[in-house]
Order: sequence, then structure tokens, then C-alpha cells
Amino acid sequence: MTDPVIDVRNLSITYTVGAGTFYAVSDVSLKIYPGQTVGIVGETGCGKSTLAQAIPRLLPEPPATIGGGEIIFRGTDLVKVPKRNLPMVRGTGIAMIFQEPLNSLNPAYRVFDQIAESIRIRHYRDMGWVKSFQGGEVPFDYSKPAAPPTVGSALTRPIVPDGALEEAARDRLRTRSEFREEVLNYLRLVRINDPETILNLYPHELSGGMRQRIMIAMALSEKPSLLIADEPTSALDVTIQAQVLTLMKELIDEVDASILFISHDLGVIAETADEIGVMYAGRLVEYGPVGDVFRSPRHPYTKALLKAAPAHYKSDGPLSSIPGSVPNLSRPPPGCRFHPRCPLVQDVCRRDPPPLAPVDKSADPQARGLHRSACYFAEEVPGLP
Amino acid sequence: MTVAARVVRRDGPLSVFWRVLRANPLSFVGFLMCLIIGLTALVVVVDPSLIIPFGPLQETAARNAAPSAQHLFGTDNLGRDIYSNVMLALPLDLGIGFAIAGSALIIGGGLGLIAGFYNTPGTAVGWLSVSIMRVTDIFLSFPSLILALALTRVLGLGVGPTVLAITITWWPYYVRLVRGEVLAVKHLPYVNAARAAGTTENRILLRHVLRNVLEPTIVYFTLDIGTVLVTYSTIGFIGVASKYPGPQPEWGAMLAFYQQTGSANIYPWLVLAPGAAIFITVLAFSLLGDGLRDILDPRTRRAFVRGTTTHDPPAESPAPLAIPSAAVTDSNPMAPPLAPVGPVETGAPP
Amino acid sequence: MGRSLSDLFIFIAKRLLQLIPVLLGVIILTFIVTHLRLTGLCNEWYPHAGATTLAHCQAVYGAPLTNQFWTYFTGLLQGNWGQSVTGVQVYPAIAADLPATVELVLAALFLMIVIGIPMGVIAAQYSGRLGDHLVRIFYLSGWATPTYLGAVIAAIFIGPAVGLPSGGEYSTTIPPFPQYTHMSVIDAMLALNLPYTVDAIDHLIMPATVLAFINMGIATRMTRASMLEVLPLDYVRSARMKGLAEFWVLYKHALRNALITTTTVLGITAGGLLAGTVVIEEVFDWPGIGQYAFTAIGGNSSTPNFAGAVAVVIIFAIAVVVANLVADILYGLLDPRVDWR
Repeated sequence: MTDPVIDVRNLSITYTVGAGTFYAVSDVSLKIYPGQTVGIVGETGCGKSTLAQAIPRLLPEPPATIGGGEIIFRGTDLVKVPKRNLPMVRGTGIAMIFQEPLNSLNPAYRVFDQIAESIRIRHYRDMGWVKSFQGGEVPFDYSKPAAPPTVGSALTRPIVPDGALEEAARDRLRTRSEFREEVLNYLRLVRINDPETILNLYPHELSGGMRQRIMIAMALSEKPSLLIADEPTSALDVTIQAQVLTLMKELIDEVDASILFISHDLGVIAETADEIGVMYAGRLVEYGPVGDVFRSPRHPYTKALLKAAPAHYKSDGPLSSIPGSVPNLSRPPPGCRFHPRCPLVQDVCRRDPPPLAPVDKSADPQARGLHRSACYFAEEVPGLP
Repeated sequence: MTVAARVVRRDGPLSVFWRVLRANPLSFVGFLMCLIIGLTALVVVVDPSLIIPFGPLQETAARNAAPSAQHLFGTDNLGRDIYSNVMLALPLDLGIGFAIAGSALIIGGGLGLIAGFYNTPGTAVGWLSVSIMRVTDIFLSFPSLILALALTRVLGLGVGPTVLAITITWWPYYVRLVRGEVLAVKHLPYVNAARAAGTTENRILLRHVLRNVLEPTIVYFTLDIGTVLVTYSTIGFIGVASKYPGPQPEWGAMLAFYQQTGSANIYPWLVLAPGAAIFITVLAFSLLGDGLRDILDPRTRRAFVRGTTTHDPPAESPAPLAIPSAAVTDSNPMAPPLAPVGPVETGAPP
Repeated sequence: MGRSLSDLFIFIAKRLLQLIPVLLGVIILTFIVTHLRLTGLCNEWYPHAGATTLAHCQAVYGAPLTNQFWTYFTGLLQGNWGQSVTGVQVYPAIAADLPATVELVLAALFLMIVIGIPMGVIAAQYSGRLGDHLVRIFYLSGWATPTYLGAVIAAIFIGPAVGLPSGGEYSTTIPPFPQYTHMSVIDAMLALNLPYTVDAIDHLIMPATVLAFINMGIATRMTRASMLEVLPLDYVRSARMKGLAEFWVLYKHALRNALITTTTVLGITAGGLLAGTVVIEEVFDWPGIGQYAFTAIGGNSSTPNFAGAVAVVIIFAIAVVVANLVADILYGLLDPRVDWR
């Protein structure tokens, strides 16, 4: 029984902006185990990006406040880490890739410099020149059958700060040409065919898909235990999107890191994730293995969302949509946040927010891989039209 | 991360103005200060005897007296009351500031609108626009103080000629500012939509472009009042404008007089009083203008608008950095590249 | 791409060539502005002069305007920039004074960069909170202080209080020594004399600080604005995620991009600095072009110097144009997206 790589418990995040307080994320709990790919899906504004950025404490703390909860990573609660220690924590375990390929890479520096920078930081940490986060062993899932070692897994096996050294030459300062070789390896890992040419280019000289690959390479070069992908394909053309997705799926198999994949595109999540969580108005309303959730959703919102996605080969009748609109997060509705738009609404829904409970009532709530739903009437959802 | 496109229900402009001002304490302070200064100037013009006890040249018995209840800012070696002189200079300096900045705004702004809007090459008006910009660029190569000083020699000494001299030096800045804003707005999608709907170019200029240009121009104008004031009083200090002591005092001239007669280090109030007056006035307008600029800046403005949107702040990332000069400034490559669309920087006062 | 070394030469050369018509325009405009008369030129500039002076003045400036311009222009190119009413040649005087002003301006520029830009970064970092307000009060105070006020207060009150001298380039106790560059600090260093160098630096501090304080606002403001634009961008967050200390995130990644737009205000800054030297050099008795300009214009009831005034206006304008040129080149260097062709 392994510990999760990251254990989010009852996390709440609020934004205090001049006009008021937004309850962006309310009481979200999430566990990601080693080797898993978890997808979070939801409409724009549901809080999924906020959640993704909150995990490595990347949110700007003055407007955003972590209202409560814990984020346990390697045995340490990240919420309690003071701000000045945050650089130590980041980069040695959690890496992130972002949505906009236009602004994701620093336009003033070449590709080589940017990837080499993360490698160099890791190198300094290995040598002890820079304080690193000694948060305990990286959990490894021994239940998963050991895949044959690949270049990818060797390059991206997560860092174990005081674990065994893979490279014997870790102690000496590396030269620029050695960095160069390692950078080229990471570029090849993300399937860039001619990495030597790319090295000296500036980001504005590359296409969006290429930039996204480089960002993935940059993230993986930190050897993270957890890779957070915040809508990495949303800003790309459909054809490029397909390429990058294929790349990510192959990497998921090759690489040991766990991945938290955020998207508003149900199809993308279906292709990449093992388990999926559905967010609505700052709450997790459904969670479970991707097949279960897609085939038999147990929350009215999930069901309506799946129905609203247009099926390309059918053209009968108007598109279905969910009546009503997303609530204002500064004044969220009491009880279940979906209740104003829910066909199954009852009085209890208006009063008490339903907990994220297993659909199978007889199962052990602590077990892994359960299908959970935050609805009092989860059994009636399959009966909805 | 995209933002949900929602209809924002905003409160009326006045309440937004108040809320914004309150949220931005420094600009609110500036606003209050400007209000007080304006009212004081009004009082001095209408009925000086209300707050001014002595005449400007009136010699009293107290010579070189330190500030006291009777002489709030002390007196000089002939017993002239400094407070009275400072107060009497207030409407002059303030009025000069508004007059110069206002004239420069009207002249320069008008030229800028033409140069920005009607600049299709090959037409007569297009040729006019190009020549306006050439002349403006050459004017802009001179530090404003230097050119104004040279002009005072041409136009003669005194308040009137100096005001004219500074105005001639000042209008080019407005041309550049307004032209830049017009260029940025001219081809916005909604302006093109108006064109597609059949609106004439003149109408577009008046109804759509002008409204957008007005905001940053007003901000610049507010900041400019202070800058003009400083320029004028610097010229007064150099000694080629007003004469002090005289029937109409002026802050810069006062300061120059007392600094040169050498008694300032023994009687610091002689120099500090007019200096403080200038400093406070310019600071008031600068606070207000700088705060206004922040308020109108779309980046920081989002934080102040109350609406019923449900987007996750922070919203989408702003546009990337400024386009290089060649793409935007088609006129003089010597002119600095235009900053991204938004309030423009003013020059530092001399 | 278009950014090799030979491309750089093309880039700079193109701009240098575009410099020439602007310089011509500057000279012509100065000439027009100063020689156009409402009243008699000689009466205006030399109201108290005697008959011989007036006659001499008329001889030079009574000729038709175009003739005057031609003689003037050719004279400029040959190094004859006219002379004052007492017969002192303008060009040698300016040549001797210019380096001192350059030294002062460079010192002020240095202070502005070293203090002003980090303040802009701090203001952006704590945007909307106390740090931002404090920075804003600081630079707006500088902006709101007229040069003469700041100079007078610094010279009379602050200088003696802090113990820094406010008069001239060197203490009067120092014997004159050879001035090769006419820049006080450099000359003292060239003379290999440490006490003189320290003395020169002491004398440089107050005027440079006042000049910098007054003009700092523009750099700080622009840095703050472009930092605010850059900080929310994804690559800044990527830099944080790599585990870089906040200091490096701000200065190595964010500021590097924000500085690109800050260079665009270099031209305006130069104008402000130069205009400020007129008053500052007068108050601090600094032997530079500003002081020369002050007396040439007739400040402080000194005898005006027409030729000198014209020359000074041209020089200042040339300096601003050059500063804009430098800013443009710097922009092209700093922003990798600019094509040098």
C-alpha cells in the first residue's frame, strides 16, 4: 500500500479582490498516487486552474488566500511552508506546464539556456550548493509491474535527494558541453527531430507545438514526481493538439512521474487520464476511474456535460445545453452549488452541501479507485434522459 | 486560461469614480489637495483680503522675522510678508499652468488628430500629416526648457511672452501623444465595424476615435499642469520672466531673489515657503494624475470594477511586449518606439 | 535570423544615416527661432550695450536671413561658432565645458539606474500595497520638485548637514593640476592622486544626486509599468516553478524583458537631465555647459551671449537626438524579436 505522491485535503482558496471575495475552490480533496494520471475537467471558471496552481503554491498570495486544508507532499504540508522557503520546495518534485505557448518560454533567452537552467538548478541541489527540500523518500509504486527501462524513464526518474546516485559523476561541476548533451537528450525525449538546430533558437522563432514540446522537456528535466499540466493543449490548433497529445500519452507510459492533467476538453481527458475528477463552481462533484465516470456518470452535472458534447456523426435536433448559468462565485448558492440547475433537486440539496461519497455504498471509503459522487441522489442519475 | 464572456453590470460612472478613488488612497489625497488649492486660488482672485493680510510690497516693522502667528511664513529684510506674497502668486502660477497646458492640448491635440487620422499617403492631407510629424519630431528633439528659454529672448520678457514661449515649446508633446492614441484606435475591430456599416470617416473620428483618445489625454493633461508650472517657475528662477519684488509675485522669481541675495541660509523660510508652495501644488496634480493613469490603465483597472462576472481572477494574460519601433512609428525613427497602448509617459520637468 | 554581427552594423548605420536630416532640421529650426525678430535683435539681447557694441552687432546680424544662415552654417562646420559680445570664442568655451556636464549626467544616470530601476521592480512586486505607495511618493516628490528648489535646498541645507560640499568640482584648497579630459573624477584618477579623486567624487555626489532624484520618476514609473505587464506571464511562473529564488525570477527573467520597454524612455530622460543641468550647474557652481547656458541666456542678470545661446541650444538638441539613437539601438539589442535588417 503506497502513499500518494500528493494528498490534497479539504483545500479552500479564496480571492480577495477590490470588489469582494471569490470562493474559487471549496473543500476539495484529491489523492494522486505514483504513476497515475489524474484528469480534472470542468467549465471555464470552475476553479480547476486555481487548484492546479495552488498545489505548488504558485498563486500570488495577496489576492489569493488558502483558506483551509492541507497539501501533503512527501510528508510535508505545503500550505504551512513559509513563503521564503517555497523556492526550495518547487523544482524538486513538482513541475508544471502551462497553456499559452506564446508566453510560456522567456522570449529573451535561447532554448538551450532555458532548459539548461532547470538542469543546472537540479545539479546545484544535488551537489548541495543550494538548499533543497528534504521531504523524505519519493514513493514508488511497487505494485505496478516494472516496465522495461527506457531512455525516458532514466531521464525522468524522480529525484531522491539523499538516495542512491545514478550517475557516478554527480560531484563535480558540469561543463556547458555536458549540459548540452543532457539538454539534447531531453529534446529528443519530446520527439524533436533536429534538436541541435533548436538549441540556439529563440522562442519567437518556433511554432506553438514546438514551444509546447520544449516546455514539456523543461518540466521533465527537473525529474518531478508530479507533473501538473494546466490545459496544455487548449491554445493549440487541432492538428498540433493531436501531436502533442500523442506525445504526452507516450511520455505517460515511459516516464515515472504522476500527472495531474487539467482540461476543459472531455475528449482530451478521456484519452490521457486514468482517473478523472469533475469540478463545478469550485467543488469536486464527481471522481473516479475514467471509464466508469464516462460510461455511467453519477452526478447530474457530469451527465449533462457529457450530453452537451456534440457527437460529430449525429445531426438530429438542437444541441443540448444545461439550463441556467454558472453561479457567481462571490455569492455561491447554499447547499449543493448545482441545485438551481439540477433536475433532481430536493430540499436537502438546498441546505447541505453533499459530501463526495462513494457510489458503491458498501465499499470502504478509504479504498483507491472508487467512483465517488457529490450528490444525494447519485443512483437516480443513470435514469435521467 | 480563457475568461467567461459575461455581461458586466456596472454601477453609474460617478459611483465607480468614488470607489476607485477611495481604493487608490494616494490619488484621493491628490484629488483633495487639488480641490483645496483650486478653492484657495478662487478665494484669492475674488476677494484677497479674506485670507491675505498684507500687500505684496508692503513693508512692515518686523524685519527678517521668523514665522509667527502674525506672519505665517515670516518676513524678509524689508518686512514684506512672505505668506501674502506666496498666496498672491497662487492664482498666477495655477492659471499659467492651466493656460499653457490647455492651449498646448488644443493646438497639439488638434494637429495630432489630423496627423493620426488623415494620413493616407498620396493625398494632400496625407502630405500635411507627414509634414506635421516632421516638424513635431524636430521640436521634440529640444529639451523643452532650453527651447522655451531661447524663445523668451525672442518674444521678450514678462509673463505674457513667457507663456507664449512655453506654449510654442509644448504643443509637440500633445501631437505625439494624440497621434499615437489615434493610430492605436483607428483600426480596432469595432471601428472597422462602424466603417463597414457605412459611417463616414469624419464621423468615426468624432464619435469613436475621439472618445478613446480623450481618456489618456486627460490623464496626461493633469500631470502636465504640474510640469508646466515647474517649467514656468524655473524660467522665473533664471530671471527672465517675472520681476520680484513686484506687484504680482511669482514663486520661482521669489525663490531666485532670496537665494541670490544670500540670506537664505540664515532665514530659511524665505526660500522654503515659495518652494513648499510649488512643491505641494505640483505634487497634488502629480498624485491625481498618476493615480488617474493607474485607474485608466486596463491592467490595474480590472481590480476596481465591480461586476457580476464569475471569471477566476487573474484573467487572461495581457498582450506580449511592445512591437519594435519599425512597425509602429512610421515617421521619425529617432522618436522612441511607442509603448504598448495605454497612458503615455510625460517628460520630466526641467 | 537577421541578427548577426554584420546585420548589427547595417542596423546602426541605417540609423546614423537617418540622423543627418534630423540634425539639419534641428540647426535650421534653432536658427529660425533665435534669429527671427519682433523687435531689433541687438536691442533685445544687449539692451545696455554701448554704441560700438551695437554697431558690431548690427553688422553681423543686420544682413538678410538666408545670408546669415549660410555664413552661420558654414561657420558651424568649420568650428567657428561665433563669439560673445566681449569677443570670447564660443566653440573653445563649449568644448572645455561639455565634458564636465557629461560627467555629471552620467553620474546621475548611474544613480537613476541603480536606484530607480530596483524601485520600479519593488513597486511592481508590491503593487497596490504599501511598498508601491512608498515608491510612488518618492518618485512623485522628485518629479514635483523643481530643479532649482531641489538644488537650492540641497546646497544650502542638506549638503552642510551631511557634510558633502556643494560648490565646484574640487575644493578650493586643491592646487590646479592638468585636466586632460575636463572630467573631474577621471582627471584626478589620471593624475594618480587618491585624495584628489575622493575630493572630486565628494563634489560630484550632491549635484548628481539632485539631478537623479528629480528625474528618477520616469525610469521608475516605466519599469513598474512594464514589470506589471510581464509578471503575470507564463514564463515568470515557469521560472518560479523551476525553484529559482524570487530575486532571480524578478531580475533575471522578468526585468530582462521589462527593461526592453524602459529603454524607450531614455530619450525623454536625456532631455530632462540636460535641462536640469542648466539650473543645477549654476547653483552648485559646476563648470559645465549648463552653467554656460545659464549665463548665455542672461540668467541672474548676467550679460547675455547670443552666439553662445544658439550654440547651446543646438548642442542640447543634438544630445537628445543622440540619446534617442542610443535608445533605439539598445532596444534592438535587447529584444531578440527585432530583426536587424
